[in-house]
Amino acid sequence: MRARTRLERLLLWRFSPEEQEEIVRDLAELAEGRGPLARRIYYLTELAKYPLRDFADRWTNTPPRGQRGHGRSGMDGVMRDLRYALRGLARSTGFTSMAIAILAISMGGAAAIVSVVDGVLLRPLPIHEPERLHSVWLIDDASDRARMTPGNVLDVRGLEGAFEGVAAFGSQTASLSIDGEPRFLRGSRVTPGYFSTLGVEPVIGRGCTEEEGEIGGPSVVVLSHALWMEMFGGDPAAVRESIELDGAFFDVVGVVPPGVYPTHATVSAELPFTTSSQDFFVPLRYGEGVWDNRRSHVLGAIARLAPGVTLETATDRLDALSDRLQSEGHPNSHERLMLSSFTEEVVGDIRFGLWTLLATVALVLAIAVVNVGSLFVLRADDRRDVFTIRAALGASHGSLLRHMVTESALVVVSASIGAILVAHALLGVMKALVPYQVPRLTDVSIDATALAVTILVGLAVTTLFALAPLRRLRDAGGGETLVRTRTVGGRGRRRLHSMVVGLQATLCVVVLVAAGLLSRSYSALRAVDTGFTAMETWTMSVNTDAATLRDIVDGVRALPGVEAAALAYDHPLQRNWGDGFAIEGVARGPNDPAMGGSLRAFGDGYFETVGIPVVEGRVPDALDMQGPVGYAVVNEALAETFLTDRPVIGTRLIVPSAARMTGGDGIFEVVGVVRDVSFLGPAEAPSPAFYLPLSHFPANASRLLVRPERAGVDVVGGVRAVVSRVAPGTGVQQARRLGDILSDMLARPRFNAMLVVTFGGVGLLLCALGVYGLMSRAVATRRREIGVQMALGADQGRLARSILFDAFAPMAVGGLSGVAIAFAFSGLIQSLLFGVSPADPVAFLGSAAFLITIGLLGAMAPAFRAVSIDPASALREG
Amino acid sequence: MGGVLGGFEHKVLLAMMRLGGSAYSVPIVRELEERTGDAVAPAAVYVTLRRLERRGLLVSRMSPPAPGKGGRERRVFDVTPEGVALLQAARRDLDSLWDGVEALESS
Repeated sequence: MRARTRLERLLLWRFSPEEQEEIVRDLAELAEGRGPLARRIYYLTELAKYPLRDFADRWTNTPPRGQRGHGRSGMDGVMRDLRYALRGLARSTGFTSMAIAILAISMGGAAAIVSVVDGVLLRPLPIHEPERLHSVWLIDDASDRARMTPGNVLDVRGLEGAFEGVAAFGSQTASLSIDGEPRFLRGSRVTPGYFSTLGVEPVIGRGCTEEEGEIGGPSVVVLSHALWMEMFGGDPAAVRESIELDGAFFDVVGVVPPGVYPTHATVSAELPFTTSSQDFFVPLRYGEGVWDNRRSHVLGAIARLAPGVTLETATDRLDALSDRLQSEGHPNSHERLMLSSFTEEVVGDIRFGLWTLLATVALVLAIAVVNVGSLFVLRADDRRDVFTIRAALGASHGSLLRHMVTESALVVVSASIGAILVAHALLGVMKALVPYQVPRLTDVSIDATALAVTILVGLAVTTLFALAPLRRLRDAGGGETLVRTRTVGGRGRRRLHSMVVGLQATLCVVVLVAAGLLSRSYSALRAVDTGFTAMETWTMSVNTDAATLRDIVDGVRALPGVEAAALAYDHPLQRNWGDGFAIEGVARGPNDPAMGGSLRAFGDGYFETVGIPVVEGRVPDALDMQGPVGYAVVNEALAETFLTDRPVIGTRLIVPSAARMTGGDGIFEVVGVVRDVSFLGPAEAPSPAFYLPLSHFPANASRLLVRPERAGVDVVGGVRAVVSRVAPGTGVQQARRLGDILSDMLARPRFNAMLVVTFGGVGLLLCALGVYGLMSRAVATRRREIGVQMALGADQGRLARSILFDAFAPMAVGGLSGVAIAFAFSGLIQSLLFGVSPADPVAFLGSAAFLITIGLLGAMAPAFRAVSIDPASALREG
Repeated sequence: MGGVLGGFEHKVLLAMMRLGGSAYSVPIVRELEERTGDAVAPAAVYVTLRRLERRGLLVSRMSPPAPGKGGRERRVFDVTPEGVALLQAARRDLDSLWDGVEALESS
């Protein structure tokens, strides 16, 4: 017999060696009697027909089961494995749906959070050389960071050689009508060099020019990428269009790419930049006088280091500038200029919250994988007999292995599809929760790599668990396994169960403690008395002269559904400038601290409209305002800080800035004390503030506050109608409900708390399911043992207690280790907490107790099942 | 047992009957080519024999080495009684169907 050629082996690989020999010999015999070439051709063409005929024959004539010849097709095998796996999974829908749901939720959650961490923290900012960009602040003796004054912006810009560009910006909101629906837009006023300093190129058109930054220059607007897509569908011809903002027309000159745009720098370091969701940019315009101002901290500023200039050099130059300004004796000469990294400004604040979330979701993923893994182990255990029989009937280990891998792969593939959906949904929820409080979040999309890595981890670990029983099966040996005794659950396995329960309990308590701390912190924030009660009150700004404004207020008060209306310089959740005062008749010693506080100018009806309660005395009414005497109102903090040594009511304050403004003596008599208001939101402690009437402190008060009788009254529509009647052509801007502004301030803590609580809940649920599954299994394997005990007259109650204790013991140990671990690390999230200690006993004990309760509930059903075992039938089964 | 005979299966079985039993694949291929005048693929004969054997219409055995001709064992096939019965039934069906057809054709 000659050896097969490679071609023969290749063409006849589906046939056995005997068949191959037969075929080759037949063909050789049939080819005889032809010329050498013809013989060769005949041989090869006929040989090639064998695999084809063979394939066609198998395809059209699938033989009855059990009569197959050898040489199964590979595709057949895969399809059969899939069919078996599907059938097996379909038979246990409970197991299947639970495993898929657990994996989908945890993998989807992990992928979403990883995508957010990557998109917000890890990716470099989408600006040119972000490391060269810094923000510029003023810092005073108390090391309180403050925004820049217009004069100081010019000072920094005048520094030669240090910076390639210096730009300033302030916030601007506007309403825009899209298809007849008014939309609230966030934008900024920016100096001409803003985009080049920031390092951003417009995608079409250009930024603002110097000429457009002058008073009386053309009205132009640069659109954000999102607004451009929404209004113009991305049409480049948008740069020849104009849009209507607050009733005035602006020519569109450019569109900037999505990215990070510093806009509204606040006085406090709390939310230094609101960087996302910028809808538009308009030129910042100040007259000559304003650019000299070194008093009003109204501008945010960024500066880009000149090429080759280090941060140290630039800081030295700024220090020298600060020294010079100090020697020149400007009003804010005690303040110094400082730089801080722009990247830190953008992401520094949120970094910690996101890492906490990531840690949480990683823990939940760990719980889930342990859980699903143990589900697989249990299931394989349950079907051990089936596998043993299959092995005894000649199924190879390879085929059993393939079966199990196929099954777990099916679960992970379905779970992956679910995970993609969960990840997208979760990201959507996150974007809705914190639309602009987390910088760059709006630009985040689910990262394919993050998703793939998460799914691979899930697949690897699940498969590992799924295969664990197979190893045991092999170790045991088929025959022995078949006749194994069913009496005892096996000490080793019970130890494994306890470890799995304990591990889950540990992980779960850590997550629950974090959830408890953050949610208690959030409810503490919610419970803070912000000092004013009228959450339904609307604030809006109307830019017109004082007399017209008074007419508008009168008109608004007459509107149906309006309970109160007032004018003011600002609304209660807005911090403005601080100002100094002196007490009449009290000379200030050289070492006495300067007296001052937030100066707030109000019109009549203000306190009633925003719901600030009067604690002592009264607030000036309309009649008072017409008189010659100026009456002031102070808050409790000011009274307690500066007026402790005298009766507050009747104290006369001398306010120098009022004297300068009106040319009078600047004296105000305190007639009332009002509740403290947290101007910067609940997280900030109230600070001293004094209120002066607009009648005697004529600040340019353009803020209109309107309190409706009930929620749902169309306040804005009513005001617009009044304004268009009284002052046609005047826009109503920045209309917002005070309750919404407050809610925005709580968005980040709410975001942290909600997500961690959600994951904590998922973790807890998983834990309960895990305990339930493992205890069910334990009871099932001990069925006969329990039956014997009951036949011997064991007390049912004691039996149930012993089963519950089997669940309780590992949970208690695991839970306590979780408490210890959480205690060791809870200090890490202190910066996220408000009004709650990181060692808060409620959060710690509550989490442990909660977990153990839920776990025991999970063990309850199996325990009940155990005591209702019929001894007779349990014994018969043995 | 039995069932319907495919066209090529029918031909293979008849060729085997003509060869008088205990035939291996090469003579069957030749017989078919001689009688039909068409080229026959040995592969087709091979899988058909395999299939007919699976259906119980043929039975195979290894024959002792034939004298001369290299002298190797060959797999030879015999038609089983079931195969013979199926051929007869097929012939009956065809005959009864043919009955009267020639007369029509010649008219």
